[in-house]
Amino acid sequence: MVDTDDVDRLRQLAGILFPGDDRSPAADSVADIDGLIRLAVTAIGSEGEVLRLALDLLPAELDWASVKDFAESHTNEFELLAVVAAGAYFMAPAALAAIGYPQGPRKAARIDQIVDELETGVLDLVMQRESMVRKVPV
Amino acid sequence: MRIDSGLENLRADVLIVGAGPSGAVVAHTLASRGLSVVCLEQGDWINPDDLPGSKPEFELLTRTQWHWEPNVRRRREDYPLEVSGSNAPVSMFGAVGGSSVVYGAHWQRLMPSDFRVRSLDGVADDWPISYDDLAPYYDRVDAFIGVAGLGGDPAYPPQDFPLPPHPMGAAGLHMGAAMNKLGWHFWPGTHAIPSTAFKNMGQCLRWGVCERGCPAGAKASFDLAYWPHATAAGARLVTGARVSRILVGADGLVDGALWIDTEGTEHRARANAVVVAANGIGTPRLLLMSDDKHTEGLANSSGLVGKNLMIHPNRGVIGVYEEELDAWNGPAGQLLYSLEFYETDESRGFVRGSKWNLMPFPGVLSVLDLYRGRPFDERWGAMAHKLSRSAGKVMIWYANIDDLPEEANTVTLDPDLRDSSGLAAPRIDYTLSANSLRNLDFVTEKMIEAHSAAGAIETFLDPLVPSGHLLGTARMGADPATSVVDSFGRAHDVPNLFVVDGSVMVTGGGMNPTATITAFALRAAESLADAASDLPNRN
Repeated sequence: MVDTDDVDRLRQLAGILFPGDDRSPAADSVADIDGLIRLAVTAIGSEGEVLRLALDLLPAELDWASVKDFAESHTNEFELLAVVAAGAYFMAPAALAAIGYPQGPRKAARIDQIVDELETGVLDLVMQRESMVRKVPV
Repeated sequence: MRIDSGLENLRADVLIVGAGPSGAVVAHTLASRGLSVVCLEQGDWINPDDLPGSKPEFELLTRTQWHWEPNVRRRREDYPLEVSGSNAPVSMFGAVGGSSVVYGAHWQRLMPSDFRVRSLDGVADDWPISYDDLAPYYDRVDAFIGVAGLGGDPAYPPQDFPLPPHPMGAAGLHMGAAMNKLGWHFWPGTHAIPSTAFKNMGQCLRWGVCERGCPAGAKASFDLAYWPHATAAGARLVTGARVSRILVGADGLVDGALWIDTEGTEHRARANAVVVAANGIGTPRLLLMSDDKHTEGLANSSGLVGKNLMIHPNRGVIGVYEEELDAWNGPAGQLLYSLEFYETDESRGFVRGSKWNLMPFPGVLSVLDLYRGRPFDERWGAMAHKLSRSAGKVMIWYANIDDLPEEANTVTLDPDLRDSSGLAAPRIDYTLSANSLRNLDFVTEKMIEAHSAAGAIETFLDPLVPSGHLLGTARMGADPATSVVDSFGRAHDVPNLFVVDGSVMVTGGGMNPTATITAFALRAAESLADAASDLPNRN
């Protein structure tokens, strides 16, 4: 669906949209970003034709100013490419770790967690209310 | 593909169309009573490994092949919906388990008042049954599927649950404190999601993606919660089977159905009775396609098949917070629900109300989407990193609006659009009433107030989300002139034809409807089983 040149350009775009800061890595430097871009493209497979069109419209020289112009002049095409770029970036373990987002298998809650929560008294006011059930004619 | 010869001439005491929640309950109930049962389902079994929620590309998959709307998703088993005449979106999912594969499993009974809207508020109609009629069936389905909840809610008649409630989590506790400040009702969410392992279902692992299918097999979608029990009891389930027509004999009674397999070959199934369980859009569509003799459709002497569509227009208000709320933790599901604004208060300028549910907000792309309206410089670059750190700090209130039945809100057959089998697609015409619009405006303002009390730094309006609550299009009643089926789902016009899905609901209430649909289906199935000896013999 996308060739090596397309992946190069999507990586460049991702690097502009997510340049990195003191906590998060730059998108064009995270491990296996090319593979993640391909995975993102496959995931939105049913929009493939629109993606091809959007890639063809993307400016030849990519920098902050040209991408901004593109975003403002071709909003729908930009949004699709931005989703691919962001989707690829936030599959990278380093990007997720930087924002504290959980990765990998999840855990069940402790069965008594609700007991601890109720013991905070958060539900006491509600439990003190009289019945709210509206009476109906028999 | 060669069709199994056993499918060439299916015969059964009862033929069920649709393997969603109501079809599953009817199949299990009838098979357990010794009747031969065949269910035809146009979708297939969903392999939990295929569900998107635990995959890294989860959020991308839900924008296309796992989208809620069939017109976007376009799976083989989906049929298209002509929705240009609707100003509120609808959704459905075709598979074993039906739309419960992607429901949030909010397990809410209707209120006693919901059955008496005409008597109490002077609008719509009363149901021919009461809360008390349905209560034992609510209890039995709850016990069968392992509903998790906390009894003692003052907003409800007394009820208790077989499994303990799920935790409210950081977000629920935070919002609960705010609701207390406002003096508004809330309660820990009730779910058809096991809080401990239950039968063949695992304990919830809190993926927070219930509405995209549970990747842990820990949600009572009816492919898990009922169908294995139904087939063990002897029910036969045929997938990839799209019913094109219910057949009517010379005696005016139904005698089976025509169905089309995945290769496009047409088959016939014969049965002593037919139960339609194809949801509030699929059921009227099939009835309208099924009459050879009249243009108005099968079982439609009242003219009400396909009318009075209700969908619970669903409005959301998203709050972004500075505090860590673990917004990726499920179930989603509902951390809390509120019935503060459920009943009519005429001072608000509308009748009826809404049920609210507080939900987590998993994903990073969904958080970035909140800022789509911002200029480029305020969305991308360094700002994108900053905004992405709100992931985990977002929660959303949704409100199900109790839209009332309106005859102008309809499901009809589109004259042009066809599904992949060449059958007429349903056309949805739905206009939000003035009452619903006032209700929506009111709850929007109140949900913003709740977020404000909880300290949200920003709020965003989520426009109407696609609703899978498809109700009212083959309503029940005592009078054949003003209803399609009786209080046990039996068609007034055709005594061996039954409807058991949300189509039968006279009014929608504001509650997520699957608890009511399945309780009704259980009641209807037991009535059908009791009367099975009176059915014509078609075999």
